[in-house]
Amino acid sequence: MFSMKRRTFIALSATSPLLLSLDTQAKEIPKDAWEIIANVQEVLLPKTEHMPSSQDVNALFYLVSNSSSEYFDANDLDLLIKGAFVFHQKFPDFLEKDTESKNKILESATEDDDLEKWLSRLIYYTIEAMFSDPIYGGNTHELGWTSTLHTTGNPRPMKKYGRKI
Amino acid sequence: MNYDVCIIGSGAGAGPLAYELSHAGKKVVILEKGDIYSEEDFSKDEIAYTKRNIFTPKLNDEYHTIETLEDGVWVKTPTYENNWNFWNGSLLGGSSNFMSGFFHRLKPNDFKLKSVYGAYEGANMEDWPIRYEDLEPYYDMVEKIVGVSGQVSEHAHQEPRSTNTYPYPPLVEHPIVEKFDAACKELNFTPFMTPRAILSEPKGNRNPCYYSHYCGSYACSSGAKGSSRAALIQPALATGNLHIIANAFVVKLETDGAQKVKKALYLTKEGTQKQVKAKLFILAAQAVESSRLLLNSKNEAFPNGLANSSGAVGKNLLFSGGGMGSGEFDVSHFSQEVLLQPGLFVNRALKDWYFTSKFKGGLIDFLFEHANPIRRANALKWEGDKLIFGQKLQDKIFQTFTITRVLNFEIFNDWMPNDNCFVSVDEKYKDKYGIPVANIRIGAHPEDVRVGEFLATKATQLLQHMGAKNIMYEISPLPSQNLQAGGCRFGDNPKKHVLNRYCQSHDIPNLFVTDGSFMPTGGSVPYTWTIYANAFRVAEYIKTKFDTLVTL
Repeated sequence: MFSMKRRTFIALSATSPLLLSLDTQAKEIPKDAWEIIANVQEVLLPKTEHMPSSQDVNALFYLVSNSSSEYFDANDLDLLIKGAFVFHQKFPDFLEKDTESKNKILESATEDDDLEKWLSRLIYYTIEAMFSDPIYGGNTHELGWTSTLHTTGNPRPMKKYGRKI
Repeated sequence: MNYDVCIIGSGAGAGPLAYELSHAGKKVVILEKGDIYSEEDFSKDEIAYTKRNIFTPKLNDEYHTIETLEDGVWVKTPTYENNWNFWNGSLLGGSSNFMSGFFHRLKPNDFKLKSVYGAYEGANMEDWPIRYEDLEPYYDMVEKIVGVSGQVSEHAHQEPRSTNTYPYPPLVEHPIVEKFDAACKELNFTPFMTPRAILSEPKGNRNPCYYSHYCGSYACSSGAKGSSRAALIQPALATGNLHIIANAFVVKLETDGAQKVKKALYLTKEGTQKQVKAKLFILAAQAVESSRLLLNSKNEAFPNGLANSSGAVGKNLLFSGGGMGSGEFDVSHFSQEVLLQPGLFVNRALKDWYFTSKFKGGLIDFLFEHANPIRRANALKWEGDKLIFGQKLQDKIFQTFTITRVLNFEIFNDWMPNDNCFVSVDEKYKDKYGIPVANIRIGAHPEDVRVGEFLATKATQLLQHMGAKNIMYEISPLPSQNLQAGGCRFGDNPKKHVLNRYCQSHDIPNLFVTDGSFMPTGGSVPYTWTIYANAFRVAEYIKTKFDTLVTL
């Protein structure tokens, strides 16, 4: 069983195209976890007629790079990684499935309280990637804002996490 | 250096003192727990301002414990477990940087609620030792110095004013106010134009509002918002008489036996202990933290905590009763362009039931849902208890963002002071510096919810007449953590009251508490304007009596 307190420290080796652009600070997290998360994100927030997909807004990169910030909720990071492994144990062939089957798997995952909680947090951080200022690495080309006709506030941040100019 | 005045905190209860006393030539030092920021540092960054603890301490390091009643038992939970953050702004200017600036005065009967309505069973009602007339000149002073924009609305409970206008004209409003006013007319309600602590015109070095679309919860980049930092501390700094020590967490006030406070001990960010000496001390760290500091400052002369011979420090803590609700408007009400027009204000409220013949009512403020897209989109992922995702969630986000807009209402009614709402400290729970944290017991009086429900029916009635869809509300006995008052009641009886009518400790003549702690009852409005006004009133007293106060 995967233990969050004894995380395996597997360096990302860029074996998956999904992981090529990851921040080097993410080296502490097992690459399998991120691969699972990226695939699930793409089902949670897929490309639609009007909306960009999680990949379009760079959601995995956003999550990996920002999860190493001192301001990221450590409990959330534990939940995200642990949940990925629990999900993988329960649905080991998820990555090989087609989109329709993946949707069905996630539907059944929501019946499990722990996995529902995991999916809920994953939706949250994917939404963060979609609608936060691009300075954080998501919301590529402001796609989240422009797709939804959202007018953001000005001035935009020049530095992340409220750091002084 | 031995300062004339040491102020602990820099928010609404501190700014007027710093402003007035530094202009009067006193050498003033502010000890601020957080850092110093200026307008140039601020942005409309939803992550930094609403999604991470950037301007408040990390809860794992510094937290509170919250006691709530569960199945008849008081259960204590550290906030690092429930993420209920009772820090509201650790930076120069405190939480006033992030306020929405809905500015309502108290009304004359708010000062004598017990006399007007009698005692409520289970509530520790008490009249104020001062009258509205005593505070009115200082409300007026706030309008001019801090800057309040608006237009005086005539209504049944209009408080007396020394002027007939606000010094700054109203902010530009969204066309939805026409629907609001029309619905009020149909229902025989009185539309009230909400005054705002937001400049509509330039004032000194402060620029007017530029309708950024991101206002409440965000620090202001133009200086239009009347934060203590922008409106009072910056001008005070210009006198050359104010010195600010940032990242200074005051952990104890030390006394000279039973006579006076002699110094404030504070910790730097690195945990190094330092001290500041002064002739007079003003505590304004927000209600919870002010009581905590007094209780943690116990010594041989004051074994129950400083200024606490009455045993009343921390007692009768106040929040605001009420809750909030909403109604949805869409492209059937307005063109998409008008519906989504950013930045413009609603600035409408209902005060028809501020007082009723039988019970104290309250205020209903109306405002557009905050722009924050992360919060709005994330709220759409639940349909009842079911988590939705995929195409369904994406469609819902798109539809909601592009063809709807939510009008919220916020209800403010009196939080009945009672024996189960207080601040205490114990030795079990300590922050990373080893200082006992504040424990906050939150017990609400049933009247708080009953009145909130009553006002919610009025608000939803109005929304229905406006044609709003999906109208809903929630009234809760659990408070919003940013509306804090009480804990150091003022009054004329040293055996019952922590402070006298000038917010001076009955026990220690050179100690004042000037945040919202002094309030015996809080009224049915956000507290900031009253805290500002009262702090100006206390400043006047200190200016006049300074030599006497420091030689007593």
